[in-house]
Amino acid sequence: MSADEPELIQRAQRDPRAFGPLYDRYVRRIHAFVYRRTGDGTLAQDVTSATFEKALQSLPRYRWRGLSFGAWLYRIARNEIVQAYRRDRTPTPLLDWQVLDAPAAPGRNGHEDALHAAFAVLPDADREVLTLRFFEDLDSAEVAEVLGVSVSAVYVRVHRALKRLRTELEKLGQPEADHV
Amino acid sequence: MSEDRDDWGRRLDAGETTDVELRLASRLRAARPASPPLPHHVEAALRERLLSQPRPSLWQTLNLRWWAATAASGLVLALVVAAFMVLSRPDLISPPTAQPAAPDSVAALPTWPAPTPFQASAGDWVTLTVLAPAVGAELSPDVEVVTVRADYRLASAPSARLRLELRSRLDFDSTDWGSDLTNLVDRQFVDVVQGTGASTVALALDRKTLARFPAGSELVLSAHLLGDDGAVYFAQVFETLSFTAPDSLRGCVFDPARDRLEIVSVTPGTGGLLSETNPRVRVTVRYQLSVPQPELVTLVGGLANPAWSGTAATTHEWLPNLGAFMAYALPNASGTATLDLYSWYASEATRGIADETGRVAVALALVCGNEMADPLLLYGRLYPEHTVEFAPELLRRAAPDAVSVVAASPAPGLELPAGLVQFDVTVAVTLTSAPTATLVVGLGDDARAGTEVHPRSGPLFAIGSTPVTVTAAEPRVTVRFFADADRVAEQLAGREVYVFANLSRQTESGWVRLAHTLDHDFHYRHAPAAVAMRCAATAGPDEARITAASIAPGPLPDEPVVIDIDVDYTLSVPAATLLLGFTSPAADPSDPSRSLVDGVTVIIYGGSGRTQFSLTYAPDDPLGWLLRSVAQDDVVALRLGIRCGVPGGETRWLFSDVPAEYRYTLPARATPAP
Repeated sequence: MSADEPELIQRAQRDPRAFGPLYDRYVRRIHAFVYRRTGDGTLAQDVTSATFEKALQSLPRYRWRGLSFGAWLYRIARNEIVQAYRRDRTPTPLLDWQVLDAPAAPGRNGHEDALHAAFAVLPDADREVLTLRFFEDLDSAEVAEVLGVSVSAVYVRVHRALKRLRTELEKLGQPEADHV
Repeated sequence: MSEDRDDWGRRLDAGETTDVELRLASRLRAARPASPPLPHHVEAALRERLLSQPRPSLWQTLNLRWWAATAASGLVLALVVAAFMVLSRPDLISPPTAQPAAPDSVAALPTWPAPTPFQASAGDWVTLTVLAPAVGAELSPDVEVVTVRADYRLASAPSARLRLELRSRLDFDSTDWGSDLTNLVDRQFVDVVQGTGASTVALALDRKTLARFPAGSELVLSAHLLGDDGAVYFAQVFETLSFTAPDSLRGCVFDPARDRLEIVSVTPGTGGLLSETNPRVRVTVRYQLSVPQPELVTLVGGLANPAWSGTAATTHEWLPNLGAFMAYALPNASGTATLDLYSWYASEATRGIADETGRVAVALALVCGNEMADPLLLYGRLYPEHTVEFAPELLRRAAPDAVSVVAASPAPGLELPAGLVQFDVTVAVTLTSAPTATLVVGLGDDARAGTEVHPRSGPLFAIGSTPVTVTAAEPRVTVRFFADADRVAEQLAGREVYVFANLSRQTESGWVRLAHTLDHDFHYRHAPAAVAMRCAATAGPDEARITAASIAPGPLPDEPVVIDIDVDYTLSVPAATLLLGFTSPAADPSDPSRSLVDGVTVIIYGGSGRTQFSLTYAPDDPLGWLLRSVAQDDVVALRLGIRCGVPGGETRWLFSDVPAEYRYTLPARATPAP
């Protein structure tokens, strides 16, 4: 978190027109996060928009508690993703049922594809905590803030998720030990 | 263990790669998947829209509107309270703790749904004490109930209903989550009469409910003393509880890409006919869940209009579009399940959603969390390709429900003599909205204040018959009841009393009145002299004993059943009320104020006699769920009580018992038969 963030937040709380620097700082990160969670470019734009609008609307009630403003935005975005799906989704055809039932096949070129394939079949909660911690580069305290749990709980979740990821890699014939 | 966990976490935060998982974390960081950039014009347009919003006024900044509204409503309520204090009787005692019906407690919850009108006097109050678990504790995954004692005093009405609710409430400092602010967890009612009393109630807080809690939510416990018709309340209290749900139970996550459901077969197939003799639609599905704990998820199925979109944002928006819906607990994270939908649950609502030709389509949903407490809608869809038709007899709705008094004995105009008078009342019934309904006939008046009509029992102040079940095939029904002049004079204020008939039906949301009449052509008079209550003159013994039950104690089947129970009694006073209902096996036999679930009452008269009760148990209706919440290890008991006096006067319990030999075991899970 930047040292100037508390001041930027206070200014934006007094005047929405001062929200610009905070928006510039986070809009691409939030968009990337939403895209990674949804895989849908149009939806990612909509949710990003809704996230910042809701953030601005709720900003007068925001209280700075030493964590980054970004964690709060991620938390809003996370809920907006759910709301958007509940509101707009249409039934998904089940043509790919078999694909869902079985672990995805490894990609044609090696270990990173296997990692992504293993990642894709993890439970949603695992993918969420790993995405926040490693793809979004939030620290453990920020992930805890986003998920509304303790830092210790984040450690446990990350550890369990990584263990499951390791198991999935082994199923794909890609034991982690091979790549140290 | 905790130190190990935190030590591993610190090594993770430091970027170490000293074990397999830490190395995998390092790989994951390096393998961040790409995402397309946010188009520049989108980013710029959003920026402009956000930054062009006007500067908030001081009013908005300080959120003064809410404070002003709160203060105004508080002032109004305070004036109402003050007015009632002036007008109320001086002999009303104060509550044991400082919990008058305080408007401030409403202000503490700004997003609470608008309450029913507040009609308190200084003599009405209710307080809450949480008996278990300890407030502030982290709940274990095994915690299933919150046991609460409500102490109350009711002065403003002869009788009332005590409503206890448990809700979850989010942290108001986060964002505005709309309706999620007040998720109902459980709600129970206790019938109370004028005076001071206490009632202990168990509110369900099961794994499914906990799983639905958003992170950061709190539990809010409330109690309201409601008028019998639910239109007013006399006192209320809110308590915020700080239980913490274990992380392991926050299982209701949402992953639209992985929650899947598809129909394997529907019997009868498209175009099949549902009738009284062929009532079942059997739906077999394949499913796949994203939540880590499948036991949190329920498959809900029902019938809906084929033209409906099949989409809704929440379960509460989704379910009202369905009729004849059933729930099925899913045993595994993926697999097949079979759900039976029955046309005999095709209530008026169900038939109302059929299209012009009587067609309905299958609709299915996956919900996570307690089905009765705003579960998370994981997946919901209408399947218009799977339709069935209601047979014409199920759709016949030629006339509205109606009830009228045709004849009564004794002849109208009689001044009621001392002692018991047998009334035989013939009622014409037009029943079109449901196959069966409940009829209550009796004497009531319309002169006394508080002539609200209870949906099931008829007028609040009445001498009524035992509820009888009527069917659409019986256009005329003769009902017998007894009234004695003393009770009529005690209960009914008017010099003239009239015959009433009340037709009602139980639905998923409670009792609904279908038709009602209070017929002035059938009038009787009673002696105006004051009648002293005779309950104090009990000479004993006053007792009751179950002598037979149509279903022997033990396991109850996993389907709706009626248990006919014979009770022998001995009564030393001229008249009293005998009550029977389900209760918790842990209930104190000597504490008759303990709530009954599906309690049934009959009036009994002095001497010895036998009467029969019919208790209904339906696993999937609200009473079934309520019963489950008071059960201990799925076991419920029966409570018997004899109460002397009637609502509106002093009452006294003459007998109370929870017989140890009558214990019933609820089915492991309320599901339709496979």
